[in-house]
Amino acid sequence: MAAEQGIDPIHQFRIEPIIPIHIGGLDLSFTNSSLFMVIVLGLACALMILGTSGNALVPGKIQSAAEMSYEFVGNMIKQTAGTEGMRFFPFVFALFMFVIFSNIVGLVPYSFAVTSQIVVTFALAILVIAVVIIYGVMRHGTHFLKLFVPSGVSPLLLPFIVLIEVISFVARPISLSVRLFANMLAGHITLKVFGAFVASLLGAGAFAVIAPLPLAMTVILTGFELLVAVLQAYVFAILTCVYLNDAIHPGH
Amino acid sequence: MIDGVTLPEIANAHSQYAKALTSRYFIRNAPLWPNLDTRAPRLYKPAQSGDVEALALSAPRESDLAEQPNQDDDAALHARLARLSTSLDAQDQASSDKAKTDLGNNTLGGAMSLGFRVLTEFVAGIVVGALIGWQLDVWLKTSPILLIVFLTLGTAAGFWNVYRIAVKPTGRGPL
Repeated sequence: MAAEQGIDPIHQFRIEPIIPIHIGGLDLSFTNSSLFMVIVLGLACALMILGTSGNALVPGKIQSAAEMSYEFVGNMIKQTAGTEGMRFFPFVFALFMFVIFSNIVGLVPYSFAVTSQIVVTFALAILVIAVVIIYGVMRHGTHFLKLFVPSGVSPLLLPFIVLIEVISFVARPISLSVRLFANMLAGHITLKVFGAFVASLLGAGAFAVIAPLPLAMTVILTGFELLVAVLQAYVFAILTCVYLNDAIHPGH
Repeated sequence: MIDGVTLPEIANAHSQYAKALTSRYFIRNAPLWPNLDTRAPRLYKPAQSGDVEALALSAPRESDLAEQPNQDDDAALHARLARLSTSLDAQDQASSDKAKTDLGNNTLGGAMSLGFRVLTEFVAGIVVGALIGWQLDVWLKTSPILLIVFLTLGTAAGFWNVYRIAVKPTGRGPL
């Protein structure tokens, strides 16, 4: 029975209501996903509040972590979107902290990876694209549509190029959300499968001798997943900056 | 008296130097954390010698004072400030360069993220093209012409995305 449970690698992504709330036919239950979103928010807020409350000239550990995350995101925005992009700092920083904390918290055994749900990552990606479109139209008006019309293209090819540009713009939220979701989903499934191998091999008589092999693989994969967790948060944030740069300078 | 400079003058230069340091630090960070302004008095307490040492910034060198013993304190201070600005800028530059290479394309992580980015951008272009064509076919009842047309365009968009990544991995403006 225990082995059978271990072999079901999808079970970890099941959404289970903790406090059922139904309003007018809508299921608004407080689920395990919601619980971990609250935990992630709490951890990110705790880092920044504790990190900025000391105000030491020579920072301690938490203050260093808070300042490093600030500088990291700040530099990232300045490099990709210029100093003008710094007005989006709160937005990008909040996104980055949410994604990186949910990725890392999701790696803790028995926890729930919020970013392994396509609904969550797609909502974040749509939010980014909505900010890009709304800010671009607010700031540049119809000039924002120049984003889809590259300069120096012959009039004969222009309709095709515009269509291709529109398709590639529409593809952005999809690639942004699928990348994060697929990385987290695949990583968690792989970890679970290798963990299940250990359990099955231990229960398979003489084959228990090779059980340490998948165990070692699980250890390696955990380190690898830690890298992926940080990297995907970075990629999500830097692509947000690149897209925001389009909203700031659509003519490029 | 050291080389024609009195001790109070040296002390004054020291304190102005420390003030310049802290004010520079404050100005660098002020626009970024405006709501921390109220905490400024605590953050930027009068610099003590220990603090300056902790910042690992050099005190005025004896040679500076010895070089121009007859000139104004102001000139010496300006020279030191200029040196400080240059070193701060160099530090900024170095840290931003470091950030660029930290998760850049030179590491395993950078290469992996770039590869996955290429994959998803390419697939997303094709999928979006196919979905648009299919939906337009349903609405205009022209199946399967528009599906084929938009699938082709979507593939082109996928290649175009990959080309753009190859030209400018994460630089300014993918367009």
